[in-house]
Amino acid sequence: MVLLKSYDSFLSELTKLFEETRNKNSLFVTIKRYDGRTKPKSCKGDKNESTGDNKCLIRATNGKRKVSYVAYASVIKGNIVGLKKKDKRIGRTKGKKTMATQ
Amino acid sequence: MTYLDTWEEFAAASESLYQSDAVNFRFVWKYRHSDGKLIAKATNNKVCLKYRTDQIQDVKKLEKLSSTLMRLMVSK
Repeated sequence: MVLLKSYDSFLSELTKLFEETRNKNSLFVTIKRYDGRTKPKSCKGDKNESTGDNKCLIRATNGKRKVSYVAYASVIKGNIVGLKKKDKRIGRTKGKKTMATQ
Repeated sequence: MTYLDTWEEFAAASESLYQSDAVNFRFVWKYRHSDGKLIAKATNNKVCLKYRTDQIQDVKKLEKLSSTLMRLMVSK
């Protein structure tokens, strides 16, 4: 699991994963809430307090290689454009494929 | 595991699933280019909702739901 620090490198890794799964395998993208905890919650007294601010963990894998990225509120709000780009990518490649099969 | 019939149903159910258990909730989509299939899944480890599609217009809906969920995750 590679946790990428910059959003741009995450996007380029994601693009690579899209290309790798072109002919076979699948691409999985997961999003979940992440509170900064690195260890599980202890049953008695919680020493691993969450940092309080909520983030969003994004993971992408092709079943072999994993990349992940922790997005903060500011990043998400400022990069909705970037998200659109990656989703459109699916649309484009999909569109091409359906045209080819017609 | 339940496959829902319409995206609207799936989106509404996913959002209420997130509201009911935000900590354990995760949202996954799987894209299989070779088969031209997209499967979206929302789960909290107890309830699992899925939606399967091969239609291009669902990508836009997926994008909308993802950003809604991400906004919910970072807010509060």
